[in-house]
Amino acid sequence: MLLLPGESIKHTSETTCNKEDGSLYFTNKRLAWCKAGSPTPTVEVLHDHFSGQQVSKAETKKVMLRVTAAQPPGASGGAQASVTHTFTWKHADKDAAIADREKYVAELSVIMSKRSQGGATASGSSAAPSGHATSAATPGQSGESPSTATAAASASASGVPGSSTQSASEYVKVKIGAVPASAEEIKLRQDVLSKNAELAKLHKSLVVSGLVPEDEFWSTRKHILETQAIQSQLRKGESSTWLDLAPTTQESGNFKYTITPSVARRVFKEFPQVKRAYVENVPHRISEKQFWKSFVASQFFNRGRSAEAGKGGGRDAIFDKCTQEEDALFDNTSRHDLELLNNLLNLTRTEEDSVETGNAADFTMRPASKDSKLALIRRFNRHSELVLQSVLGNKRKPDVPSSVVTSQALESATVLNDLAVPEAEKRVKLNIQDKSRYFTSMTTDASNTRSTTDAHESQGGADPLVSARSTLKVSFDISRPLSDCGDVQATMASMLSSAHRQAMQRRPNRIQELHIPDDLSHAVAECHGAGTEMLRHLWALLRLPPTADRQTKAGKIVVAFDGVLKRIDETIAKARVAESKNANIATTVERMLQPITTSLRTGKQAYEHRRLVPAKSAA
Amino acid sequence: MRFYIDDLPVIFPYDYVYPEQYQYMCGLKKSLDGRGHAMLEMPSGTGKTISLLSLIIAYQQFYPGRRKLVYCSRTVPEIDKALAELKRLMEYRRSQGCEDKDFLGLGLTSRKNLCIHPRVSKERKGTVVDAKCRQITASWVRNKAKAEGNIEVCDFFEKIQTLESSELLPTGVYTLDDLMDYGRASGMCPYYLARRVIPFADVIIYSFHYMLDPKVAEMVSKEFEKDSIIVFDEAHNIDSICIDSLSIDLNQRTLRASTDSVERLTERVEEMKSQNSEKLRDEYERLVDGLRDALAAREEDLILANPILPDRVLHEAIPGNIRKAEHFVRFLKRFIEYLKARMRVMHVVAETTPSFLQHIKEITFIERKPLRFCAERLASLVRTLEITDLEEYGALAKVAAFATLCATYDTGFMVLFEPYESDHSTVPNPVLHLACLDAAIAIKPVFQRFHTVIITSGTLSPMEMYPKMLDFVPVVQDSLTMTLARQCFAPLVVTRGSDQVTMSSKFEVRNDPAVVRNYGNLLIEMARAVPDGIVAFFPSYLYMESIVAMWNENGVLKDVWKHKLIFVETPDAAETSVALQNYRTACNNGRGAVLLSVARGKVSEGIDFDHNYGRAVIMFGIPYQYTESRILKARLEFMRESHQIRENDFLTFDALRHASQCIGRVLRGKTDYGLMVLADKRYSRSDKRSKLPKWINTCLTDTSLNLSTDMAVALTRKFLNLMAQPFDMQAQLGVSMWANEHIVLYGGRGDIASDAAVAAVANGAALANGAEAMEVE
Repeated sequence: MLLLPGESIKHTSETTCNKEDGSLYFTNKRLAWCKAGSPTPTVEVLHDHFSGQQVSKAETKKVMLRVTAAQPPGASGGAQASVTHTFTWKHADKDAAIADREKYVAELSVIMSKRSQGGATASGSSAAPSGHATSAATPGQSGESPSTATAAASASASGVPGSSTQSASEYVKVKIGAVPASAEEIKLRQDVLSKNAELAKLHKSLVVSGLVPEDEFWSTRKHILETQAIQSQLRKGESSTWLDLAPTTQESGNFKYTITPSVARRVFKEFPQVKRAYVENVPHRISEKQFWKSFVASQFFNRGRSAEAGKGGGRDAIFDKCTQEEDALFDNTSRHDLELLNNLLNLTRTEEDSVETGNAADFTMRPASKDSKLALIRRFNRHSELVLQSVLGNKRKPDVPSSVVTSQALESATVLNDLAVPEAEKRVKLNIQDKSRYFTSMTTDASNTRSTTDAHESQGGADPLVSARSTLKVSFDISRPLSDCGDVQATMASMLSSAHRQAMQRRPNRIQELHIPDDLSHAVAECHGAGTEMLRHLWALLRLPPTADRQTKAGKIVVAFDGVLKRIDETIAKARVAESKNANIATTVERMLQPITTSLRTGKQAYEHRRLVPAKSAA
Repeated sequence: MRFYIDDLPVIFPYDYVYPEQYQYMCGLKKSLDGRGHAMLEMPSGTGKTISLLSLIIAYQQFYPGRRKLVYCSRTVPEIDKALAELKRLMEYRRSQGCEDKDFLGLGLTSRKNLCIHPRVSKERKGTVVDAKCRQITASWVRNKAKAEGNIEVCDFFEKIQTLESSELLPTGVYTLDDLMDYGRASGMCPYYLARRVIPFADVIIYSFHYMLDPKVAEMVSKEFEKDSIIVFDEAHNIDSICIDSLSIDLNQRTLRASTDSVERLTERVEEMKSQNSEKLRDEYERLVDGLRDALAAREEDLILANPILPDRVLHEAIPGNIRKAEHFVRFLKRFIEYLKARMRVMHVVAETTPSFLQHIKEITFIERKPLRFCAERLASLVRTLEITDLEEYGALAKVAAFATLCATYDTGFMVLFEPYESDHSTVPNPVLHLACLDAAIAIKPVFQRFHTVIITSGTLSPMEMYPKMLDFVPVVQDSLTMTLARQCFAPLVVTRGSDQVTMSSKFEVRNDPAVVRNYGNLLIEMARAVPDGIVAFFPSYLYMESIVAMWNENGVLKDVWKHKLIFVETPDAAETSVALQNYRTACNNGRGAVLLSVARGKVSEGIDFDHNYGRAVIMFGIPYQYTESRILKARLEFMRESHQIRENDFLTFDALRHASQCIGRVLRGKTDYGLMVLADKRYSRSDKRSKLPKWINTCLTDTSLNLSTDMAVALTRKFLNLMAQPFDMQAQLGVSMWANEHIVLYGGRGDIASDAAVAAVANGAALANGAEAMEVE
C-alpha cells in the first residue's frame, strides 16, 4: 500500500470487503483497505472521521468488523452523512481471526474514547455514541459487554489528558456569521432556541412569520451563539462519587451485582490492577462473566468491608495477585516525589529530624498494618487524588518549588495581614468638567435646575449638591469626599432605597392595576419586540455608508414595517372591544404602543430621506 | 511600630499590635528581668512567635550581656516559619535604624534535611544519609584519605575544615533554605556549618529533641551560656517529649541485631589487636582516667548536664572489668543473652529498676556499676575501632543505653515486659519496655542550668499541672484571652444527633451503630453546610479505621463524597504529606475536601488549617489515651504518689490539651474564622470544659453547649453567613488591635512625639472605646 508521509502500518489483515478480497491496514493515521494487487486504497477512513464500530457476535460463523465513519467535509452528500464499511476476516481458524480483529477494535476504541473525552459535544452530535455504541452492538449481554468496553476503558484509564488538543470540539472551527450559515451554526442556533424560551418566542414571531430573515435575526445575536459554542465545549469534571457496587437482593435471597460497561470502566480506572488482570485473563482464560463474578466475590473487592463479607470470598489467584500489587503500590512510598511537596506540609522532615526514641505507641494509636482497613483508607486517598488530577490535568507544575516560592509560602503562613495599616486603595479621581450639571439628571425638572444653577452661578456659586440631597430626601453630607463618608456602603444603600421609594410613590398606577388581559399584553409585547428588532436592523443599515445591497435590505425592512403597524392597529382594535375592569383600556394600550409607532414612523422617514438624498447627490 | 515596655524599646514589625501580644511581651520582659522561668498561654494564631522574637531580640540588643536565644519548636515547618519571622523582624529593625551588629540567627536540623552532597542527599531515609555522611566525613576516613588518596571524602565538609569557625558564615538570618543555598554557593556543608557556628549565633532555632534528648543535647546544646534564654514553643506536649527521650523499647529484633553487632565488634577488636594494639592501649589509659574531663567541664559550669551521665558517674573511673575492649564485648554478650532469656517468659512482668538489677545480678553476676558505664564505654569503643556505620550499631547502642539508664535511676523508671502486643493477640511479640515515668528527669538539667526557660503554647490550661509534672517554679504564669472585634470562631458542643441519641466516643458506646450513624450524619451535614475545607479528628487510629470502614459500609461516606473529596491520614508520613497537599489543592480549586485525621497524630501537631484550608474542625469524641496501657497506668500511679495528681485529672487534662490543640489549628489571625465542633456528650460537663484554654472556654455559651446535629447546623449556617460579611479592619482598632496611642491609653509607654498628639488621639480613642477607655482616663 502507498503510505502517506509520516505514516506507518500498525496492523494488516487479509479481509474481504464488498465481496472482494483485499488487505486491511491500520496505520497511525487511517484505516485503509486495498483490493488485492492494488496499491491504492479503495476504502480509507482517517482517524478523525471514525464514529463507530460494530463486531459480529461470537457465535456467528463469520468474523466481521463494521466501521462507521463520518464523511470528510467537502465530500459530496449532506454534512452529517456517514458511510459504513464492513470487513470480513478470511482466516480458517476463527479464534485467531477474532484475536486479530480485537487488535483493530482496541485501536479504534482508543481513538474514539479519546475523541469522546476531548469533545464533550459528542453527546449532541451525530458522532456521539462512540464507546457505547459498541457495547450496544452486542445484544443480549447488556450487563457485560465484551472487550470493546475494555479497550475504551483502557484508553480513559491510561488517561491521555492532552487528547483534547487532538480532536477539539467541532465548534471551535465554526465561523459564526458566515452566510449562508454552516450546518454547525444552524445546530448552535437550534440549541440556543431550545434553551432560551424567550428568544424562541421572538424568533417565532419574527422569523417564522417572515418579518425578519433568519440570518438578519442572528446577525445581531452573534454573542449568544458564541457563548453557546463555548459552553457546549465545556467539559464536565469528573464525578467525585465513590465507586460503590451495591448488590441488589433477588427473590431467591441471592445477591446480584450489575456491572455495566461504564461501571467496568470506572473499576478499571480506580484499580489498574484489575484492568491488568482483565487484559491478561479475558477472554482466553476465563470468560467475561466469570471474571466479574470472581471479582465481586474476591477479597480484593471486599477489602475494608466487615469481616463477614470478606470471608465469603475464598482465595482467588487472579485477585489475590491484584491485592498484592495494590499493596506493593501503596507500600512503595517512593512513588511520592517529595521534592514537589510544599515544605510546610512535608511531614517527613520532622520525622527525620528526631532520633527514634521512646516507647512504642499503644495499640490504639498504631495503624492496623495488615488490616484491610488501611487499604481502604489508601484507596480513598487515591480516589480523591484521581478526581483532582482529572480536573487539573497535567497543569500541575512538575518543577521543584524554587526558593522564591518557598519563601512566599513561608511569608503567607506567618504574616498577620490585619496588623498592617491597610494600603489605601488606588482611586481615580472623578474628573468632572462642569460640576454644576453633575446632579441635573437626578432632579425631576431639569430645566428648573438649570435655571437655578445659572442663578447660583450669578450669585457666586452656592452648593449644587444641596438640591440633589433634597431630591433624594436623604440626610447625609455628600459634599465630603467619598472616602471620608464613613460607611460608604450604608450611605449608598440608603440613597438607593430612598430613590426607589420615591420612584414607587411617583408612579401613579402599577402595571397590575391597569387590568390588561393576558392575550392583549402578549400582543403588545410582541409588537414591541418585532418593532424594536426591525428598527435595530434598519438603523444598523442606515448608519453604514449606503450600498445597493443595503438599500434593498433596508427597503425590505421598511416594507415589513407595515406588517408591524398593521399588527399594532389590530391590537388597538382588539383593545377597544376587550372587556376589562379598566374602563379606558383602549387608551392605555394605545399609549403603550405609541412610542413604538412613533419610532417606526421615524425610521421610515429616515429611510425615505436617505433614499432621496443619494438620488439627489447622484443627480 | 515602636513602643516601650518599661525602658526597653521594642520594635514590632507591624503597624499595630494585638493587646494580648503586648501583654505577652510584658510578661516575657518580667521573667527575663527576674531571671526566672515563665509559663505563658496565648491563643493560637495570634502571633505568639513574632511577639516572642520581637521582645527577646529587643532585650538582647538593648541590654548588655547579649543573652543568646535558643528557641525550641516542635516541627521542622515550624522552625522554618520561626526563622522566616526572625528574618522579617531583623529586616524591619534595620529599616527602623537598628544596627544589630554581627547578628546571626539560624536553625539546626538533621543531615537528611540539609545535605547538599549530590549522592548522599538523594537517599530517602535519614539514617542512611547519616551513615553515608559519616563514611566520607569521619576523621579517620579523612586521615586515611590524606595518607592514601583515592578514598572519597565530602568536598563540602573539607571546605569547612579549611576555615576558621568565625569566618564561615556572614552575619544575618538564615532559614533552612537560605542555609542550603549558601552552602551550595560557597561549597560548604550546611549541616556542619550550622553546628560550627553555634557559638557565634545570637538566635538558634531547633526542635525540642536537641535540648531534651540527652543523646542529641550532648552534641549541640552542651555549651550554651548560663544566661541564655531558652524558649519551648508549642510546649503543651513537653512532658511526653521528656519522657520519650528517656524511654527505650527492646524487642527480639533489636536483640538479634545487637548480637550481630557484638559479633562484629569482637572481630574488629581481634583485628585491631593483631594490627595496631597501640590504639586499644591508649583507650585503656584514657578509661583509667575516667571521665575526668567531662567532670571538670561540668564543675566549671561550662556545660549542660546529661541525664544519662549523672554527676556521680563522673566521679568514678570506668570499672576495671570493662576497661579492656575484649572484656567489654564479652560483658555485652552476656547481658544480651540475659535479655534474650527474659524474652522467653510468657507472662507480663512489671518491676522497678532496682529489682530488675537485682535479678540480673543473681542470674549473671553482672554488677550495677559496669552497667551504668555501658553507654559511655560503647561510645568510646566505637570511636577507637573507627567505625563509621553507626546505623549498624544502633540496636546495640539502644541496649547499652537501656543498661545505663536502668543502672542509674532507682525511681521514676519502670521495667515492663509484655509478651503480647495486646491482650487479644495470640502471636507472641515480646517487648521489654524501659519506661520513664517522671518527666522532670529529662528537663531537669535545662531548668538547673539556664536562668530563663519559657514554656509557651496556645493550650497550656490548666496551668498548675506543668510546674508539678516538670518540677519547676515559674515566676510568671499567665493565660491570655483573645480580644476580638467580631467573634471569629464558634465553638459548638454537639452532644446528640438529630434523633436525640447521645453521641460519645466512650468505649462502651463508640461502636454502637446509632453513635456511628450520628457521627456520620454530623459529618455529612457539615460537609454540606461548610465551604472549602473541613478537618475531622478522631481519638485514635484504631477508632478512625473502624469508623471509616463502618461509614463506608452504611453509606455515610457516599453522601460525603457528593459534597467533598475525602482524604485520610495514614501512618506513612510521605503518604500523608501528599494527601495534605492534595487536600489543599482541593480546597483551593473549590472542590472542597474533608481531611480525616487523628488527634496526637502527625497532622494534629504542626499543620495549620488556616482560612479556606479549614473552615470547620470536628473533634469526634474526646481523645483520651488508651487507659489499659500498662505504661500509662504506671505513670498515673507515679504521678499520684509523687506529684499528688489524680489519675482522672491527668487523663482529662491530657485528652483536652490534645482536643484544644486540634481545634486550635483552624484559626490563624483575627481575620481568619472557623467553626470548632466538639462532638461528645462529655464536653458539656463543666469538669471537661474547665480544662479547655481560657480563650476557648469563654466563648462557650449556654446556647452552644448542648446541641443536636440539626441545631448545630443551623448555628453553623448563621455563623458562616455572618462571617461572610465584609469586615472592616478599622473596627478592630482600639478593641482587638492597638496603635501606639492605645498603648499609652492603657497605661503603657508608646513612642509618640508630643504629648499633645497623644492627648488628641487619646480623646478620639476614648470616644471610640466608650466606657472602658473612660475609666482608664
